[in-house]
Amino acid sequence: MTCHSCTQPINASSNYCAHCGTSISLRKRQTRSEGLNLIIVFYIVELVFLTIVHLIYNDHTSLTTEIAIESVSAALVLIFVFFDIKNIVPLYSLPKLRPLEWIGVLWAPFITGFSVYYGIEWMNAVLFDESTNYYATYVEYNNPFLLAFVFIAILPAIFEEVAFRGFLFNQLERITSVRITILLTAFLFALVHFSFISILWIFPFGLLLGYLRHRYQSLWLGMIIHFVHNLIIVSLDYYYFDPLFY
Amino acid sequence: MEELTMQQPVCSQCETVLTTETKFCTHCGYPELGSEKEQSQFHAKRVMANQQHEVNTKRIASAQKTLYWMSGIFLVFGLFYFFRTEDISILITNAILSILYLLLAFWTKEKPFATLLSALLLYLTVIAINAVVDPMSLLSGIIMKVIFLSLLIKGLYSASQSTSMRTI
Repeated sequence: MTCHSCTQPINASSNYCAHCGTSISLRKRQTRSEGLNLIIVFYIVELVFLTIVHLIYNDHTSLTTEIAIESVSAALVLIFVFFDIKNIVPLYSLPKLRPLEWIGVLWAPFITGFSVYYGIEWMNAVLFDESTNYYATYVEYNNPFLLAFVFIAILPAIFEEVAFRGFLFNQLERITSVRITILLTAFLFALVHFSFISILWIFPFGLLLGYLRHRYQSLWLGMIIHFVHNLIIVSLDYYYFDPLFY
Repeated sequence: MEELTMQQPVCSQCETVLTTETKFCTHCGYPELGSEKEQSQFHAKRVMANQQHEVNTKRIASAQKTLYWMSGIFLVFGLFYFFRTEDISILITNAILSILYLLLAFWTKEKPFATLLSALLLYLTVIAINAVVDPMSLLSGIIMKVIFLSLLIKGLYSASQSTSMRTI
């Protein structure tokens, strides 16, 4: 560790540089403020975007509009990623896992996917008397399963992971402890889904993804689990889809 | 035989052991071998840092009070809308928000940064969800919203400036 002001070596436990007297803790506090600014701006931009999307989105939204919405969403994430590109790129290195750990990671989305699909579907039906079929949204287009696969399984796995477990995780880690970082990223990941009932499963799901991001310093495991989880949901929606109801 | 004891220099402000060739104390930053001007600048900076610390503590305390107020207001509004519209879902949502804010308020002393960031972003999400349901709701109670948001933001930035990692 070196002093950012005089480049002399400094002890990790020092509060001040012994040679020029520069405050190390002041530098840390400035870094935290910068991180906090980015977190708040990122979250407000996401909220404004999601609010607009929810206001314009309805059952008759065209495929072109949906592609435009997804493109803007991806572009916003990439703009924020650009601010922290040097810390995000290394997160795309492949994690080193033992065979047993790989089995655990590959099993996890099957457990979460099936339990969420049947558990939440049941709760939604009992509490709110409603049921959502993601596949049905695309049924009037050619290749509906392919569209559902791209919009629901692939895109969120790529962009939500880099946004929450990449950018947001890195900024929070600059300010606070790893434990709080995992908790907060999971909490905010649950909040942006704008669904009260979903918090019940998205929060623990986010905790798992955040823990894996920290444990293996890679986004790949989160992306794989997120992708397989969403693919299971879409596949079950496809399996249970009944054209008579739509 | 005469025993020779080498006395190591210590900082005159915090008594941290110093190495002979260093000008500044690595613990408190005091320029032990600096000029008189540098030493008086150190004392002036320390007074300012103490004042800033007091300001930060006060801001965190008022942000904590804000959380208690928000908890109460969510509950009162939930009850009000329930008696007016008989919609149980609004009452349940507001009751859960009220409990969440109460828990965050309790936890603020221990972890001010985590609780105030959660409280601020949760509040912004509630405003956004209400705007989806009714865009005009953005304007209702705008003064109260601005007051709550500014108190939470001030508290949050003060909490992020804490010198102890344990509290953030």
